[in-house]
Amino acid sequence: MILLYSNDWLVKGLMEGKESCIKFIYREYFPMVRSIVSNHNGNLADAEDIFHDALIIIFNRLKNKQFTLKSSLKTYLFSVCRNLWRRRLERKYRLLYATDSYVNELEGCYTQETMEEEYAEKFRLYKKHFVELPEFCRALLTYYIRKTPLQDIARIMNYKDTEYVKARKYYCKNLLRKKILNDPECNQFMNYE
Amino acid sequence: MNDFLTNSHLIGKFTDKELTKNEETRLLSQASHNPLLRNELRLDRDITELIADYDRIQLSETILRTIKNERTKVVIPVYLKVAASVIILMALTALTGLFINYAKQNSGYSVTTYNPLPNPQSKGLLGFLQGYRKSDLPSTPLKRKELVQNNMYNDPYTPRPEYEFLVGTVTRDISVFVISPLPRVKCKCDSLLQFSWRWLSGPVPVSIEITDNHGRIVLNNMQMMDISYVLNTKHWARGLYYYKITAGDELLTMGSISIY
Repeated sequence: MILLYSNDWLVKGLMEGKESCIKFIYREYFPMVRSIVSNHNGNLADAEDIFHDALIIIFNRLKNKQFTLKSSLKTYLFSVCRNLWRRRLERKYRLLYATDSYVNELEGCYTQETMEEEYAEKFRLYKKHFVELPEFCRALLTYYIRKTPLQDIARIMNYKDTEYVKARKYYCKNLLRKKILNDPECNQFMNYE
Repeated sequence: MNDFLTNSHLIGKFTDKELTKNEETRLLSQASHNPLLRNELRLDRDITELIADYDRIQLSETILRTIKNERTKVVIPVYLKVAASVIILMALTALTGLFINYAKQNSGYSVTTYNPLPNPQSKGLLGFLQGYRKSDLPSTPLKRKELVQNNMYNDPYTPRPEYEFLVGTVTRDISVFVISPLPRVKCKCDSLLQFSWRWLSGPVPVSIEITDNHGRIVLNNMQMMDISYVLNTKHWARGLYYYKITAGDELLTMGSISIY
């Protein structure tokens, strides 16, 4: 059974990362995102990426105390998804038909929104490759993300000292970097050389 | 490329600001003419930024998990849901109509009465409720005899196991106490068999139903307010019969009558 939630509850739930709230947003609003994407040469996987990225962007904006949500979450999600997909399409066509002018154009119109979009995409890419890492790397980086002290990590993972923990952490990050850099999707949107 | 391989282990330290001044200067000078190393440095910085917010990572995991779970679910279109609801509603309405119609046809007898004797003549509403149709009952003793004789087994004394199982069944109802007959009665043809009972807490209508060993109802005396009933077996065919005494909706007792 789907309950109807208020806008404030949804915003609060999104900020707290409540699963029931995300599920509700997905069930109620994802068809809308899917229609935006599928009506403009996209498929289901694209729609899911857009949905994920849009929620991350909204989350980041909501965390900013200067930002206030003036419309309903649905309306806002709709506009973010539409803009996101439009920019992604533009970039795709630029890459396809005007590769040479891409870098200059991008540098010329590097806006806050573009940065946010790029950030969300990087984040998705990072998540995608993070789950492919070896088990010990995922565990180590998870502890690191949770800001667990190095001594505790060494004790939990049976490493001899904190220097070894650092060495393993650098190794795991190297592995992750290599995976991301080898991903063809990385070259599409990352502003790297 | 060689610079990258040489300095790969220094990239993480550079981001964490754990390099010495000399190492940092050397790395930056190498990065200035090595695009791959520059990319690595930028990406490492980005990754460090990306994983700095644990809440965001948790949210991302939740979103991805939700998408994965919901994708596998079969979503029933709204029009199908509406169609299914309409069909269920129509079926329920039809069933209610049948039930009401059935109850009207059998006024004077509660349709919810439980009848432990399966009755092949009238199985009731879709087999859930045992039916009692007055029109199916033999109206005169002669017709009753004919009915039994025409439909008897080769051996009219063959007991039906499902009936035998219920012979002697006594309810725990305390409103009526059955005095006679005994659970298994043997009597001659053309004799009188007395059914008698006493009310323990005030008058209650009592019904007697007799069926042959096929399960066909041969006698159904309903809602009697007397305390006894005399059955004359003068016109009854020889054979095995089963009786059932009920008070209102409650079964009081069951037994068998063997007429020889």
